[in-house]
Amino acid sequence: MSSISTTPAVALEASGLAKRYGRRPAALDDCSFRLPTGRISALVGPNGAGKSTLLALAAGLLRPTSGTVTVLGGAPGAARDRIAYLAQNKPLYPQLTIAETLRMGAELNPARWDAACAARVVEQGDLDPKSRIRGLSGGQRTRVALALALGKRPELMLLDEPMADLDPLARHEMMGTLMADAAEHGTTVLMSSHIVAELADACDHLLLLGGGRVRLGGGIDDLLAAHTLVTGRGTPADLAPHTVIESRTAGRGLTALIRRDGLVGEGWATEEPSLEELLLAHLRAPEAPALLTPGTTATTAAVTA
Amino acid sequence: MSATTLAKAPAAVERPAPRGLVRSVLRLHRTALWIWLAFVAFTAGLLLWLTGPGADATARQLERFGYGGGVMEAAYSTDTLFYFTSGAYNDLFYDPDTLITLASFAVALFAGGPLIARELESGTAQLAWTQSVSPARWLTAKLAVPAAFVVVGTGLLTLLYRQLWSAHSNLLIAGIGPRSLYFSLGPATVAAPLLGLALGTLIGLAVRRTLPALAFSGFAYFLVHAFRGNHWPFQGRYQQPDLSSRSHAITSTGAEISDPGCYTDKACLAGHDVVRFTREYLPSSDYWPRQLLETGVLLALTAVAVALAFGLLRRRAATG
Repeated sequence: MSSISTTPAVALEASGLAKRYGRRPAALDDCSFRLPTGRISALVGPNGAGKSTLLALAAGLLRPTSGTVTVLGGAPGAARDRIAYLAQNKPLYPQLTIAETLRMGAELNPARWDAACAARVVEQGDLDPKSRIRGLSGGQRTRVALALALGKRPELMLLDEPMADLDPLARHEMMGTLMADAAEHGTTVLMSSHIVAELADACDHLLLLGGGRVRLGGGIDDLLAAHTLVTGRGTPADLAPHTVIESRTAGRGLTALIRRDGLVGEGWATEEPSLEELLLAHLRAPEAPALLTPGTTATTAAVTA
Repeated sequence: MSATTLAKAPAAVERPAPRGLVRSVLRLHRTALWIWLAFVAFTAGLLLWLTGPGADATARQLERFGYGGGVMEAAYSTDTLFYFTSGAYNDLFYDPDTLITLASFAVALFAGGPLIARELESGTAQLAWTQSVSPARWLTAKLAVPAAFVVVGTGLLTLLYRQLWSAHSNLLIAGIGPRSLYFSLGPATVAAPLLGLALGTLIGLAVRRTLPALAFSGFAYFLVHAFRGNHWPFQGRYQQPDLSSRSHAITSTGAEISDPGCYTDKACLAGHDVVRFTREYLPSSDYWPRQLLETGVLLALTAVAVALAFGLLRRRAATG
């Protein structure tokens, strides 16, 4: 556990990762990617795309059906003390008080616990440490769960829809806390979410899951730069050298999101898409080819263990 | 009694897991632990009372009138609808046994439901596994802490019960009752709830939902209980001879004669010059072979259930 002292450049790497639950279609299927350290990565995808499964696999809560996942340079189970995981339903012990929950965090993470940090997150929500978890609202519970996650001083945070049940103000506040903490300590964050606005502000990296694989992966700026939103008169065939992700007729012309290959021809107005446009186009076109930037492509050499 | 239980139990499990994990388990299940301690204290109190003041009246009856006029009369004079509430010494004598049996069932249900399945169902187990605690260490603590309480608690009660047996078993009405109690008290009394704990844990891990796990754990322990009661090498509740006992009437010269059959007739007793009666159950030579075999079988099944539970956990969750 102590041998890996140098910070690995890769926080999370999946290679041919697959997870099947019984006879249902695979939740993850041949999923390969690499998440460099220090990135705040958004995990996006339609419902049932395997986001929660991927996060649980990385947290060492599930065993993959096949393939490997490497977390902070080792097997997921070996890095338990250095990762924090926030499940979608924010499980906490209802019979404990907030103070007792945090004390449990201290007891179960004796080597890393930062009591002041955890207490601060709770205080920001005006929560009484003596109140029981049972009596808290969903949002308050999320805050306690996040305090437990941050108090651990993790190197990698795996957050499954962390802000889903918070009101807009609390969400803004908590996101701020989370991001400040991550920036201060260089924490890698992988968080799934449906709220694109929240992602655009906070994240600098994107993993789009679809059909059990990564369909789009890389720095958000790089991904946006690789795509162009074109408008003009013509047919999708006129955009031939480029990869057309999605095209729609708009008025008398055509609007298309393309992955550029060289220069865009005459007669097309071009603009860089927003993150929302990029995501929606890919979600609407599940058959579009995958794109992973070099930093996010899994190295086949790393497939050991 | 409860103080020694409290002091002893944590010490037994401190070694393998960090103290924090043990403290967390104690805090999570403190209600159950308090109930357990209350049960142990109450039952121990009942046993001590039965050994001491509770037996006085019936013991005096036995001494004056012997088995027929003393013990039988004392047992039947207060009979009510429900034998266990009659207040007769013969009935009260078996109440701790009933309580221990119920508690053993409760241990199995607790292990299946709140200890394991509820945590898996609500996701709090996964919360623990993503702290610096591996699933295997988590399960170890979950098993070791209750096991320590069960062993110390039932061990203490069994010792007190054996003491009560040697002091006052002569006040029991002969039949399958004394035999069954005699053969069920011993190391196996401690091993049975341990098997319940292990079976409940295994079922909780396999089923992962609270209500079905409760039902299956209860059924599993019912099988254990039924098997203990009716099968060789276990005690055998039916079709077995009574325990041998020895009764004497003692005359004023100190001679031991057989019971003259006077019942409660004082004139008759005086006529036979009987001043007091004695009675005792003779120890059975097959007590230890049966007890040790039963304990061995129960502990072996416990070990199998624990091994299966760890195997199941390893298959479900990632590396331990």
